[in-house]
Amino acid sequence: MHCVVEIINRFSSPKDLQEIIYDRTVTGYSYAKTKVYVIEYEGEESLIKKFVEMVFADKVVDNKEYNGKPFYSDAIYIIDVELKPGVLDLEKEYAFRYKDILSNEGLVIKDLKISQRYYLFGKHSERVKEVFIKSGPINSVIHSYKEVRSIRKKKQEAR
Amino acid sequence: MEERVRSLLLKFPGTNCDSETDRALRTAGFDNDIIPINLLNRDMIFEYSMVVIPGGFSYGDYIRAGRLAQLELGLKIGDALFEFKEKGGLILGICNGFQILLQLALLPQASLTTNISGRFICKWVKLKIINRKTPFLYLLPWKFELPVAHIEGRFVTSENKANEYVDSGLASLVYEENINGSECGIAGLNDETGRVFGLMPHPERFLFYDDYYNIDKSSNERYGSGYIFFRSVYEYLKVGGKM
Amino acid sequence: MQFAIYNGAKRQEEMDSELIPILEMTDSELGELFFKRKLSLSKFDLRVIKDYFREIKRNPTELEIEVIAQTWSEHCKHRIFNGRILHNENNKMKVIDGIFKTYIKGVTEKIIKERDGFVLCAFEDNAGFIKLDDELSVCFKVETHNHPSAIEPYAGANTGIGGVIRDILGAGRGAKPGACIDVFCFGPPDCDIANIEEGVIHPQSILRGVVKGVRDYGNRMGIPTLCGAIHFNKVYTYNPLVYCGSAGIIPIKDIKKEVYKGLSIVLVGGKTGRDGLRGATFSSASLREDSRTEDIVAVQIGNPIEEKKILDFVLKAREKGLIEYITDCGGGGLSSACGEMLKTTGGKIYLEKVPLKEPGMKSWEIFLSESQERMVLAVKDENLKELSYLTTIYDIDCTEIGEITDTKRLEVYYFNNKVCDLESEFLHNPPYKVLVSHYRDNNLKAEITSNYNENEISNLFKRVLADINIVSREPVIREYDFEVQGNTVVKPLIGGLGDMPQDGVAIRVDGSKKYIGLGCSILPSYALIDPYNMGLSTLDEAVRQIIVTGVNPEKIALLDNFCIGNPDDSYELGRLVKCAEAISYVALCYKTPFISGKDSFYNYYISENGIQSIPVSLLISSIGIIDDKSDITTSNIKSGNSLLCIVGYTKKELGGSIYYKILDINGGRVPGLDPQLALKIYQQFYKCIKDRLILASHDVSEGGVIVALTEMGFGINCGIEIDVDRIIKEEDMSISELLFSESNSRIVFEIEESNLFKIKEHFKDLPFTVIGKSVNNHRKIIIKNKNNIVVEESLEELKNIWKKGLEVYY
Repeated sequence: MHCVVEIINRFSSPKDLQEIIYDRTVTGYSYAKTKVYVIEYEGEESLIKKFVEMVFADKVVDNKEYNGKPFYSDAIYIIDVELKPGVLDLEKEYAFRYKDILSNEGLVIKDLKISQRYYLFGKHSERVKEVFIKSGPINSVIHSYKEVRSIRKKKQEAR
Repeated sequence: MEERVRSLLLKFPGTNCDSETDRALRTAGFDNDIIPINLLNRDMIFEYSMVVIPGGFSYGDYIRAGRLAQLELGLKIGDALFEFKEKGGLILGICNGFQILLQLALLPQASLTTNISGRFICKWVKLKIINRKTPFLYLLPWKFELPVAHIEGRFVTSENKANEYVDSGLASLVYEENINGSECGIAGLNDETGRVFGLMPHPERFLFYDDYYNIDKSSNERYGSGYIFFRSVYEYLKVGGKM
Repeated sequence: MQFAIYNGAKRQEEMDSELIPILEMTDSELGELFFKRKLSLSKFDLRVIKDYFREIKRNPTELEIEVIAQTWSEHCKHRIFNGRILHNENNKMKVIDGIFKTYIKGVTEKIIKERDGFVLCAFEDNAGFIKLDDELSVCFKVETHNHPSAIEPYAGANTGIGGVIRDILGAGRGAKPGACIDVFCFGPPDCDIANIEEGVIHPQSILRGVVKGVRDYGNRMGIPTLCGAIHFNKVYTYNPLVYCGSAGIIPIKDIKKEVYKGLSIVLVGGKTGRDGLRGATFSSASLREDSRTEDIVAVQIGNPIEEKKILDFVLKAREKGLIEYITDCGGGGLSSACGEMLKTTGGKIYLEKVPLKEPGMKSWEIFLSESQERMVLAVKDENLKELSYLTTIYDIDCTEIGEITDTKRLEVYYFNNKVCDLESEFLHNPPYKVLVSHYRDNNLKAEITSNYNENEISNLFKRVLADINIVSREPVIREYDFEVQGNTVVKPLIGGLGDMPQDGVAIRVDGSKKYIGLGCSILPSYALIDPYNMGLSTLDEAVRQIIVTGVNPEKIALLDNFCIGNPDDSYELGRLVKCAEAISYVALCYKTPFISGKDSFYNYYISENGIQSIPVSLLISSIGIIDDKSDITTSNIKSGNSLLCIVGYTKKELGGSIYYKILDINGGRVPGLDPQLALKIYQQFYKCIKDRLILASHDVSEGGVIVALTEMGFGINCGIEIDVDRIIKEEDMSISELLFSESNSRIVFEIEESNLFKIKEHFKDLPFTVIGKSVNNHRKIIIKNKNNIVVEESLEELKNIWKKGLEVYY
């Protein structure tokens, strides 16, 4: 089975996009960052939620979204960035040590993928996305990225 | 023979303040043992008067600070730490240790998250004591300085409990200048018994006056406020738990 | 002890013992073979290799070819620094029998004789060692990690710092790292992205990534990052430089390490994978546009917790006397570590025992892999059991992978098949390189008279103070845990608010009454004009920084780290030779030995618009002993009732200065040096420190005397009043030249008025003068020329400019 959970720090708020991009002409945008965990497992759904709470999330700090719906609905772009296969992902490495923590209750974790989700906010423009991808936090040497469907676009389609 | 006051300093992979904390405990009078987590067992802790979890990055703190250490400690000695506390033992968590104690729920509900600046902060800070009636603070002056060095040191609570903690005196230590966005500037927190205490600043790094950032060479001071901190606990335990 | 379980080994084994028929190949076919494998060896090298195998009457295995190429690479054998150079200058040619031997090691050998017992080991081990006290020694090493940082800044810096910490762990029988130093050269952080070729990472992104890489590794390892520099210059946009260093403590009795027949070879730490293959040869070649895609395999992310576990384990094992020999797996992996270790004795390695990350690795891949966080030890059999017990406590893997022999051959086995059998004599003596260098002065060195308007000095001063190379490094410094270990007595940020700059830093050493001072200097803008004077200046500044912190001038040692562009270009090599000449001259005079160093070549980038190279970039790092706690001196003014003094000549030396940069003047006279005079100044200054006459002292460097004085005033509530006319100077200097000159060997310092007589005694016959005072009645810096006020500015406002300068970029 397959569990997607997005974890959002309740105490963080969107910041100026200039903090993470290197093109000074792109101003007036902000971004927010969350983490998305994709877990392949066997066992009860309640157990995987218990696992997420035990290992990844913090009761006080984090909000969790299990239904796959992105947390922010007003972003112009949502881009998931992950480390390429073969690049050491230390969070995954250490989290995986606990894959058997609930095994006596019947939970088997088979695979885990962790990505950083970036939400971009502001006036819609293709260029922002281009700049974010080309001169932002992504380095194609170690990262791969995928665009999670743009909310704005979806709305237009719906019309 | 004089009775020794024994402390146990717990070391995880990634703990990195063990030797200076050991030095601080010994300088203050403790008979301290550094115990790597792989050698720790449940019964062992009851031979000591205090358990100390020092600073560092246990297991790298990659998921969140203290999480894996909490899981590991929970699996290993379960509720022994709670029993130890109930029996009158002291538990101290410094920096990463504070993060671990909160995760273990040995302290009132709260958490430490990423600093509001998003950055690591290595800085000397001015601190203010709110409640001096804890074994860890009672010999210190109301105001003193210590260095901090953390990226996840922003004290947060759900439902504004921070105010409650300040009012009740559980939040016994606060920053004079809020460096990391902590609610009510909380820098240190103890439980209802006062016997469990966690703080973000590093008392072990201001053991000697020479450690200060703005030394007055004409001063005759030998020790720093970190020494008084450890000496407080030592004196408290020495006389069998009295302030 | 663990043994790897290997699946499908049979097939691999058969493939691996196949020989490559080089004896049957023509020279060009052989060249093609090496080119395809991306092995950078010369035609001459290939011929020597072929001759060797012809003599032993067989063809090499794939692994042997890789081992030879790795061992003979620039990274491992420093063949350029050791090569013979035909140096041309002023229509004369001289033969330099190795830059290293002539200008570095040769200098140290001469000094060692005069400084009895101070240098305990130089250029032999992973780091250089000096004596701290009768029991303890300090070792120090600085490395570069330029190419990986250009491609992935975070990972590059991460593994750079990890690597140099392992150097210290592998120094002697295992030293305890006690401080880190990091020096960076980057392009301007405000550089327009449109001016940067696609695929090149923006300097600001490199800055952020590198700092975070150092932070996340150093802080996790629990080693304070204390000392450093960041130099921004457009020449580094395509070729950023990242120097990482570490200093460690070790008992003197544990410095000596040796291998002999019968010891077991043990691999400690992480598993071995394909990651980082060919890093050693990679760092010995230039960056090309296609580097980014080609060299993916060379990018690794470090695991500091794995290394922290190794650190805890190694130090405990050394304490218990379980280690006979230890070295780290760096560039070249096991091949390099074992090669070095077995050089004099010989040994056998069994590769099937190496724990692997992934199945299907070829023997050469295992042997050459540069997977991080691994160390190689030689231990007595009787100690294996206790060592194994320690591995369970510290939660690390430890595997016996071979044994030391006395055959003087490197023998490598893979499932009973011999995949390597090479004589040390052949492997460790690559043919000499011969290179040609040519030095000619460029026409930038001539003195320039700047047109200045005296009314503008205040404005120019603010612009100098706001220059990216002057402004406070506080945003970066605070990211580093400079307090961990609780021994940092002189911090990188000091003063009343803990935020003003300090020249050298100092640490306490557990178990000793002595303290260690650390400093560094890098001056690339001088190098662009005059590499010789740059060399003089860099060495002088590195020494001066720790002198003003209270280090004994007779107990200073240095590290040299050179980075240059293409050594095959005689012009670039000529500039390197001039710089090396300069530092050798000054080091001999100061009697400050070099104890370790490193060189990095091929720092150039082939872009669409041609070759982007760098000037000779020399980092000198200084380490010295502070004999007594009371000698420690810091740069912040201590009282509003003191005299401010300067020692040293101020000359019209503004070539490469920040002032000229502000005025957009390219060229001019780069600060020179009179080392005899400088040494005399430092010796007398030290006497003043010993007599407790110095309240505060600061070295005068970039930005000149006005910047030095202003910085001293950032720490306390007082004002500064200076009479510029009192500065001892050359004739015909304008006021701005006086204030912004970057002449060497100058120290500004604070004294009590009552001590003036004693100070004058110490500095008689030397260029000493009182230039002003600190006052309590205002918080300004006032600079007068006789009775005219030239500058009058609020120190608070100036501090604000200086403090905020880097914040916008980091």
